[in-house]
Order: sequence, then C-alpha cells, then structure tokens
Amino acid sequence: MSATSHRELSTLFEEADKAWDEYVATVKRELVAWERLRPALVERLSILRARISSSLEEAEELKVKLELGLIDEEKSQKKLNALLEEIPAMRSELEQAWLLLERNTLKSILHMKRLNLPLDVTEEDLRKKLESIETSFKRHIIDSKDVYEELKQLVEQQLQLVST
Amino acid sequence: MSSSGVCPALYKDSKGKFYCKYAGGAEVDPAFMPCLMEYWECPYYVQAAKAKKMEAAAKEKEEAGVSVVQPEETTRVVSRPPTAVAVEAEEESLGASELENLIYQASELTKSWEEYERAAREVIEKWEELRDRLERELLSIDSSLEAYAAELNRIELKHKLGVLDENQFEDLKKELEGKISEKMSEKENLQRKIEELDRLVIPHYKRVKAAEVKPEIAKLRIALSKLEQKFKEGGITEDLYKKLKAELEAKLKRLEAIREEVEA
Repeated sequence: MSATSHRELSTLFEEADKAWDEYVATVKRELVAWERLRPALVERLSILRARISSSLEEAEELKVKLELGLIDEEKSQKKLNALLEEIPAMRSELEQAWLLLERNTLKSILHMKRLNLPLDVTEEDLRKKLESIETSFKRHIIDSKDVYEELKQLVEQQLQLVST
Repeated sequence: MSSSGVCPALYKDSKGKFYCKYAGGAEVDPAFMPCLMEYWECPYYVQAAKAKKMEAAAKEKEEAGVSVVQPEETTRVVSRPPTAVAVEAEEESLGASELENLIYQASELTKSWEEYERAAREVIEKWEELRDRLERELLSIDSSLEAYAAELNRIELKHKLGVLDENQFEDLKKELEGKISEKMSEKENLQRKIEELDRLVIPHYKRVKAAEVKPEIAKLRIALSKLEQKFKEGGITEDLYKKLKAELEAKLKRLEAIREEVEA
C-alpha cells in the first residue's frame, strides 16, 4: 500500500467528524439561546390569549346585560365597539407568535433527537397542546383557518418525533 | 298608588308563579321584591308611571284648546285695631324673613347637592371604567407570572435531564426569577393603586347610591330572575350564567350593605 493511500485512509472521516462536532456545538448553543428567548415569547402568547379570551367574554356579557336591563344601549354599544376594535390586532399578533413558537419547538425537538438528547416534552403534553389549538379555534381566540391548520400540523410533527 | 299596598303590575298564573307587567312579563318573587311593600320605588313602576304621566300631559295639551274663564273670588277685608296690626305685621315680617332665609339656604343646599351629585357620578363612572382597565392589566400580569413559572419548571427539568449544565441553568434561572420578581412588584403596585382608588371613591359611591339603593336592589333582583330564566331556556352558556350570577350577587350584597348603613 502506498504512503498516499495510507494518509488518505487515516484522515478519511476527519472532515465529517469536524462537521459533526461543529453541528453539535451549534445545536447546543442554539438550544441554550432558545431557552433564553422562549420565555418572552411564551409570556406574550399567554397575555394575548388571556386578553382576547376576556374581551370575547366581556362582549358576550354586555349583550346579556343589555337584555337584562342592567346597562343602557348607548353605553353598551360604546364598550362593545372598543372591545371589538382591539381584538383583530391582538389575534393577528397571537397567531404569528404561536406559529413562531411551534416552528422553533419542532426544530428544537428534531435537533435534540439527532443528538440523542433527552426530551423535556411528552406525548401527553403534545396531545394537550393539540386540544388547546382546537379550543382556541372554536372560541375564536385564533381566527385564521390556515394558521389553525399549520399549528395542528406542526404539533402533529412534534408528536411524531417524540413518539418514535 | 294602590291603597292595598300591592303593585298593580303584579299578577299570578294558574301555577301560582308571579309575574310583573311593567318588567315585560318577567317572573318575580314578591318575597324579595318591593311588589308588596314600597312598590312605588321599583324602577319598573317608576318607568311605567313616567310613561303614563307623559301620556296624560299630552292628552291635557290637546284638551287645553277650550278654556273657561272663571270669575275672580272676592276677598273679605277684616278690620283690626291699628297697634295690634302693627305688632302683628312686625312679627309676621320677622317670621317671613326667617322663612325666606331658610328657603334660600335650602335651595342653595339643593343646588350644592345637585352639583356634588353630578361631579360624584362623573367620578364614579370614570372609576368604573378605569377599574375595568386596571383589572385587565392585572389579568395580563397574572398570565405573565403563570408563563414564567412554567418556564422555570421547564429549565429545572432540562437541568435534571442534563441538557443544561449548572452554569447555563443558573443563568437562565436568575433571568426568569428576575422577571418574576419584576412582575410581582408590578402586580402589588397595581393592587395598591386599585385599593387607594376604591378607598377614595367608595364613600362618594355610597352617598350617591344611598338615594337609589332600593330601586337598584329591585332592578338587580329582576335581572337575576331574568338571568335564571334565560339559562333554563338555554339562551346562555353555563360559564357565562355562573359569572354573571356571581357578579350580580356581589353587587346586590354591596347595595344591601349600603342600605343597612343608611337605615341604621
């Protein structure tokens, strides 16, 4: 065997190993960055969900209070208009933020599975998330059918990864 | 007003249930309503009475086309001794001026009260609106706290699983605990502001509401009764029914407390 073939054979997988080590380091770094950035996103989602839900409930209450004679029509209409005005913007922000969360969650699970890192999410957690998406869509907390479908698809993909 | 002390709008069906004509035929419970007592203070009675008055006034105006001139009454003049008249006149003028003074003072008092009432109602309305906004902010803060608490649990789990090393975990934990502490402080501040606002406004609320506490109580009782009916008929969800019922009962309790204070 020549000296060249010997050298080639001994350095054969070095580049792949180097690429892999870089990949591992990058993933670990980005997972930590994700843990740092996630709380602000989750907080915003939580606030938007609560605000939209409460505004929708209040709008329903106003209608019933008007029927019960507890509030006059002008006052009720003014309050209703104010509530209905703020909901679309909050909804749109919620939908985009929620998609961002689930896309990044899917990527984090995918990379963790590749590195054989233990997952912090269970199948039960993901099934509850799917229920939450259904409920949010039924209650008009999210409105867009496309966003609803995409969210469901993202969480189903997460479920598939977690269960294999 | 009916001499029997029973509201003329109250009626009973064959099953023995009571209903109010003036409240659009809503079911009522006379045990808790003013139907059998001071029904003239009931807001529905007042509304119906006003409407009747306006109808009568409109009718009168129509009939006022024909007017009859009545002869003037002749006044009898009684003669008295001059000194007695002078003393009597002086006494009368003192009494009259005291009376006029008191009438003037009472009118001024009425004006002051009306101005106070107007200003107080404005403040109360703003207080109710602001309180709603502050309650919504509190709701946002509670949502934030819930989210951060969940994230803290998450990173603790990741640390246990070995995904985060000690330094990474401590750094992230410190950040989250900092945010939680910030939000808690914001919440306490907001709650203090709401309490301060309540402390200042509630005495005015009580003064203004004391005058209308009985009709307001009646109105709330009718509303509760209508709410029950609506829920039985499936017109609203159970969650909404429970929430509104709790709100109305809390308002009733507040007003009844004011009534007790006023009547004490």
